Amino acid sequence: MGYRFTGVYAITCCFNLRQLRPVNTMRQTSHQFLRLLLIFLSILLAPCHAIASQVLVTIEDKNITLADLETALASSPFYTQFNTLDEDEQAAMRGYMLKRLVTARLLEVEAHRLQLEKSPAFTTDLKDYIDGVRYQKYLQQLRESIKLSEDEKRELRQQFSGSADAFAAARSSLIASRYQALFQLTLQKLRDQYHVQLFQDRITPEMKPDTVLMQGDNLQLTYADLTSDTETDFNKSALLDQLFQQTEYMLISQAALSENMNLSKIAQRYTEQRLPALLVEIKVKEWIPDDSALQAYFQSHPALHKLKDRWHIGQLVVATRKQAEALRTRIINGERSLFQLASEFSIDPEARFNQGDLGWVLQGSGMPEIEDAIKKLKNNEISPVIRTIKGYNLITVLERRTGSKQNYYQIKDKLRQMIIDENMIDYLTELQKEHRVNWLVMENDQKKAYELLQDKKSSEK
Amino acid sequence: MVSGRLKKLSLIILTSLSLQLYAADVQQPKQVLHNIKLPDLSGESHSLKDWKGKVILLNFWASWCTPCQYEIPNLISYQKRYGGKKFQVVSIGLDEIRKLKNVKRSLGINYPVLVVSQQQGADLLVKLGDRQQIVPYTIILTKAGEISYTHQGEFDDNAFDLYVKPLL
Repeated sequence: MGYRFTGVYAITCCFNLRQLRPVNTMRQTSHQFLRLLLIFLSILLAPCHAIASQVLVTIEDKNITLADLETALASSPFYTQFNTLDEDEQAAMRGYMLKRLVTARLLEVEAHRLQLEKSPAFTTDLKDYIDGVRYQKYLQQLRESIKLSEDEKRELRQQFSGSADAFAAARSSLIASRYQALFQLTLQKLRDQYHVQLFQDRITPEMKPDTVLMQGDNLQLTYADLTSDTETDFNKSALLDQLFQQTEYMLISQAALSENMNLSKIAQRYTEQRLPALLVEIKVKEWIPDDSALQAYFQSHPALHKLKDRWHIGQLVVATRKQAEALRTRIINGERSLFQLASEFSIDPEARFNQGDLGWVLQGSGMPEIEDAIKKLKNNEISPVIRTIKGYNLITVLERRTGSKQNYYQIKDKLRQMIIDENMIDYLTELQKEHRVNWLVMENDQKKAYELLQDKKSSEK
Repeated sequence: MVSGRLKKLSLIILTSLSLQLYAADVQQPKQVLHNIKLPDLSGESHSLKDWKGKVILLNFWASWCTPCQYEIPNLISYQKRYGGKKFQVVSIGLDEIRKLKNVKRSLGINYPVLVVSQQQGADLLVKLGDRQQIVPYTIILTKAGEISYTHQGEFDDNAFDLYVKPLL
């Protein structure tokens, strides 16, 4: 039992589940209880036995289902790695992803309450985005209309038999060469259809912002449309490029508009993603209206004026002292390096992903037992076995850097992020109180997690 | 004099031995496949003879390889639809057992996963014609155990229709 919980602690730390604070149902519970709860939620452990439409969390009238969670995981950049994790590690990852989904939905609900979807900032964004999608889809349809003959396909298959990548590349290259010709032909047809006239000869240093450079049926481009800066730097060739590109974009967009594409789902997805981001942008402007907010934060946090000592650390964690001693002997005998063994045996997933390379660790940010050992170690030496809450650790210091003073300009970006992080936690807590967040997934498994916590406490006594 | 003869003799023996070793090293891919004996995820040893008389789709993969994971649902579907007396998907994972087991559970792999270390697996790939040691790599074996097709990269429905279906 002890081994399992040691592992669980490491996982929750790694994915930073501590900040997951469902307000309505679990406000009074301890962090430890929450960690256990997330890890042992049966649905997060074995979702294949559950129904995809099962609702995990509700926020006002919006549901987050198991299918939403699985879709989010499948489209995340770490999905390949996710499949290689143990069941409890995957459950922790699902918990982390669920937290992110809840945060996004919470912000979306609040954005709707503030009617941000009606704001000019959003409506302009949405229109530009949908225009872009329509343009891309039209070109995609054009590309897909190019079909290779059966003979051509057979020839390519024979030539690149056995190599899927080479076959796909040759096929794409053949289609691309035909696409260019088809694209030019289509553009010419559209120019004729919309009676487009280009007035390149009007591009002179004397032209006015409202000088018309392209005219067609319901289409027009002026000098001011091509550049936001009509006052300085006249550059004829750059303006010509702009004129051709924007004419092409307008013609294709116009043609795409007449195709009657149904883009409502894409618009909905964009709204779901853009509204939370827009709300965050607004809040950040509120928290940091200008640089004076950053300077004030810098002045009121003297601890930030000095960069602490840093150590580049390698670490391996295992569940038993016996195993740690055995691995230490192998490293000292030169059989394998600490990093090779960490990637194979470490029970800390973070250490395993990074092959034992913990990167640069700041003084005061690690566990005290580890920091004590670091101070006693020479560079590249392997520590004795160190017992910590994570398990039995072996560490090595690759490089040390002593702290130095840092001024406001060196850490301006960091200050900005720190202010955002601090305010965001409070803001999200406030939103959770304001909107009804119901963690159904937790209620179902509370009892089970509570029993596990009791087991752990009694085994510690 | 005697010692000179001995030296000559030992040289001849050594030369013939190294030639034999060389000969063993350049065995044909078909022989290499027939000599494969690897454990599955529960440690039970297998050779391809276990599926004798079936068309075998032999797939080399690794858990860290994204295209390998992409094609796994295809392989699961082929095994589900055609697996039985005539056809069998067999995979060889070049990886840690723990990770292979986790991917098997996560994606619901329904065919045997044999295990080989990365180094041994890389050597095996070269001997089987995948000189660049690219995974995924797939070999199609006829019912008579002959190699009929090798495929670097993702194995998809097109490849299955062209190179496997006619053998069934």
